[in-house]
Amino acid sequence: MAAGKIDPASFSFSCAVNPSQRLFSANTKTTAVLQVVVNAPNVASPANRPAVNLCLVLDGSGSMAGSKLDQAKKAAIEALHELGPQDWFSLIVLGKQMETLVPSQAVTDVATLESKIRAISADGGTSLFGGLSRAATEIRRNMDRAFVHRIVVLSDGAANEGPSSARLLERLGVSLLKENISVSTVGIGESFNEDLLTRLADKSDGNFHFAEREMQLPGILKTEMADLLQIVAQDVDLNVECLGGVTPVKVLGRNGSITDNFVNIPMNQLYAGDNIALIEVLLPPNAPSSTTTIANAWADFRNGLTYKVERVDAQTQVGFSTNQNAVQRSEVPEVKKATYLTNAGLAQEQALQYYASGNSKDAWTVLNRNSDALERAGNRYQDSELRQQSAQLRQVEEQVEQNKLDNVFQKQMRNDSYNLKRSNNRAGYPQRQSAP
Amino acid sequence: MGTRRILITWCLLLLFTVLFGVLTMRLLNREQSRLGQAADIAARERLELAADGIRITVAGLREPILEEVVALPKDLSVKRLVTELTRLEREHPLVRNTFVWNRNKVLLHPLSGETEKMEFTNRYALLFDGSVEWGAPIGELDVAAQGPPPDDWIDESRSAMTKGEPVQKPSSGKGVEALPQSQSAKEYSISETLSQAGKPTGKRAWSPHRSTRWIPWHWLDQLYQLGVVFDDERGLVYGVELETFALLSRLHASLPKDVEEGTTISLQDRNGVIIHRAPAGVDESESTAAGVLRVPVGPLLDTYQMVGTGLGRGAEQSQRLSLLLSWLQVATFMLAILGTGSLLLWQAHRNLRDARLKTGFVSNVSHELKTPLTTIRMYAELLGENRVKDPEKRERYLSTIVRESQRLARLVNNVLDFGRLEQERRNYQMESIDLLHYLPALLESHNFAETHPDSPIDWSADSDCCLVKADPDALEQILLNVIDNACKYAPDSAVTITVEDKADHALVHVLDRGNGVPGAHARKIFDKFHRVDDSLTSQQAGSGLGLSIARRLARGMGGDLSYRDRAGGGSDFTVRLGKSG
Repeated sequence: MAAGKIDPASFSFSCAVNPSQRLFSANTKTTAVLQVVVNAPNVASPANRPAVNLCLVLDGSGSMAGSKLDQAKKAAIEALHELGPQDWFSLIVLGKQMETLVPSQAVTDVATLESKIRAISADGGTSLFGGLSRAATEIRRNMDRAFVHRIVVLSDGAANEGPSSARLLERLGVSLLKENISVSTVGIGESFNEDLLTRLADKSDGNFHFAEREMQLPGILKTEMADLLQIVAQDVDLNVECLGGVTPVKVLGRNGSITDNFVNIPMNQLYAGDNIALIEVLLPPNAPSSTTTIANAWADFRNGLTYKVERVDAQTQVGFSTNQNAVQRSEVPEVKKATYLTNAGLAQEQALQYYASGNSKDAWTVLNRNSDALERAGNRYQDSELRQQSAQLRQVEEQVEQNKLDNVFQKQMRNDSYNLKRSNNRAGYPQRQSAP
Repeated sequence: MGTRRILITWCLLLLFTVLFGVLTMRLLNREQSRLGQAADIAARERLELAADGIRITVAGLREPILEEVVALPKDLSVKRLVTELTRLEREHPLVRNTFVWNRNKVLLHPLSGETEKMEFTNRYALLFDGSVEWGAPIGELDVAAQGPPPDDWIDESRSAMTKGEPVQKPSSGKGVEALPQSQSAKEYSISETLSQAGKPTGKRAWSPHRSTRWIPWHWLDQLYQLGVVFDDERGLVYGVELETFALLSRLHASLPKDVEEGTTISLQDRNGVIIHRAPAGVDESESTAAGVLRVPVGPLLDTYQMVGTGLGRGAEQSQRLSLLLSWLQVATFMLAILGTGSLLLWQAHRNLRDARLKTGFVSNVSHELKTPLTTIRMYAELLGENRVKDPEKRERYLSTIVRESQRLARLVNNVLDFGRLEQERRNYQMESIDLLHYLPALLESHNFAETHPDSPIDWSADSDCCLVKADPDALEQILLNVIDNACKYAPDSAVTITVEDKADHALVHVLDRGNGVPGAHARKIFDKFHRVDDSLTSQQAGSGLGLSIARRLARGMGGDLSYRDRAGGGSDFTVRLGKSG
């Protein structure tokens, strides 16, 4: 692929590691959070961006008949219009006759593709596994001709044929991620399995969207396409080596693995802007010192413009002090905030799981603990977003207490918690797609 | 005698037809069954072919993974081995987990406490804790003997390794093929023979130091697969866990592209969950189809099977149609044989009956002709010989001659008319006739009062004028036959003739108080040659033609002649005639 009009030399990436605070209490074991930021440059214009290889999987089952399918088709056409002749497009329709309606092809004849989309009708059931399998096959046809590979699934119902458990489909997501294929999912209405769709998206580093009403679909696809077109790097392998006896505990809000003092966080892609990972670590007792390097981070990735593998790296140092005021003042609000918000997203997920298993009490406890923490943090840092998030969690608490979490609300919660994590993984990612 | 023969012949014909039909049906059924079996075999072969496609694809996807593991230098430290396996796990889409285990039953990798790793360790706990042999068992409880290096060789080689002696080639063991020691890992050919019984015999190629195999493992109703390398030199077992569902997702392209309408071929797990199907799609209106065929995929995908529905349905339908057509043909043929035979036999029976009737008729006619001729001749001779002196007697004899002549004439006319009617040469000169004038003239002209003095005839009408359209001669013949019958068969009984004048027709009833016509004969009295008592010695003279001719004449003029029992006893013969104008 020819390089665009941007000078690749000016298309530069950077890496930074920010601790949750600059000073820690000396001689004390402390928990901290490391925020690893890989910054990617903005794509200047559509002509310069990396080529996209997109496959839409459209649910054409009987339940989609009518307005849902009309809006889904409209959304698909709008997605198509965002692509250019350097991009590749394919379309799978699920239903009585599952077919590869549009085999993977360059987006040169938009009118023909549009007419094929308009001709889709609804009948039959939903084989999500079958549809994803075919979508992956179409994507693979042009792996070396495009840079960004994405499957977007639009469905209103549960998969009723083929392997349909979230556990099995998330394995497929894991496998696809290794091929640099992400799966974004869009759940429409009340009947879809949000657990399945979110886990599939999560494991493949894709997005999840909830369309309570079908009119939201065109807007959602537009957001998804805007996201897709911001991808500037792939095959991202983020590694963090904890030094000085620091022990990594867990990766917050992302998939990652810890081996000894190494943390590995695979990301399928880098979006323009900040791409963030949060790692909770345990600092051993340290004598008071000026600065100590506690982490090395490096990210290997393939540059979307040059196709070359590049590396950016960073280190972070912290100090240890017996001055508690200084320690407190050294907090880094952005990292703290990101941690609280990510934990809020995780708490919502966990609360949903408790609630779904009939354990309202534990669901409420988790929500209550986090909403209190958010409120305290909001007051401490004078941050309206934290306070707002706390208020939202309180609302959910009340619903849980009264056992009134209806199906739609649960789906919305799932959507919120997923996007909360994503937004804390990427600066600028919208937290919630609201209804038009 | 003839009728019995005809009946026997008909029964024989029926028997033959039935036998023929039964034999033919049996032959057809046998042929249908044979064709059905052939169709089943063809369908099964088709499914087997589809299964072969799946097997080839699975082998093509799976084997390179194990080859890549085997290709790792054998002198890698354990730490480097773990690094390489971890890299493979991170990069390869079909590798879910990797592991390193040593013969001291210690799992060296993975060690992390992550959920996926813990689940992996738990899944194969029976292997990792030594409860289940690596070489032999498959699945949770199944035990199937596989082909690890023979025990005697293992002992020898361990002993040799301990002593630092070179390892010798093994003697032939159970199902194991040995390669020369110098053979490098890259020259491995990993092959498995497939066992139809589903128990892999696991013939594997190996070097004295390393061997490989795939272990299917069933856990919580799912199939998992471990690709294992046995490094006997270092006492290590390491390898990969396959990402089964990612592999399954790639198999849809291996299903047949062209599937006949109404048939499906699908890959299913042992619980009947459809992984992929051709044609693709979910038709929620489909029900479980009859005629399901199953072919196991085999050890490459243990417990998975190819399922075909409606295979050969097209052929089955055409066979069924063909069989139906054949049955129809046979049935038609049988019906034709039976029908034609029956027709012929019935015609023969009729001809026989007609022949008998004709014979009877000829006999009767001869008798009828002879009787008046004899009387005429006798009286004519007496008169001619002038032996009758009494004028009254002479008068009586002459009347008798006239009467018998008239009877003879009528008989001859009947026979002639019968002939003309049979040949349909009877022409009718239709005129307008006033019955109220015609009847008395007829009665007077034929002098019934004298010829049948014991059967007085009277007539009446319900109108003053009754014009009918008829042929005068035919009408005369009809009335004479009917009145003559009434006089003959109801002697000593008055004969009453009534005329009913209707709007569009007139009815002439000839009524008597005789014995009437017995019920069984009532339908047959108008049949030609039929007489109630058809004996030559019958009390009444007659040919059996009169009523038959009378009816045919009446119908020839557009009317009819019918019979019914007279109320109070006797006969009511009714002539129906069309009105004139």
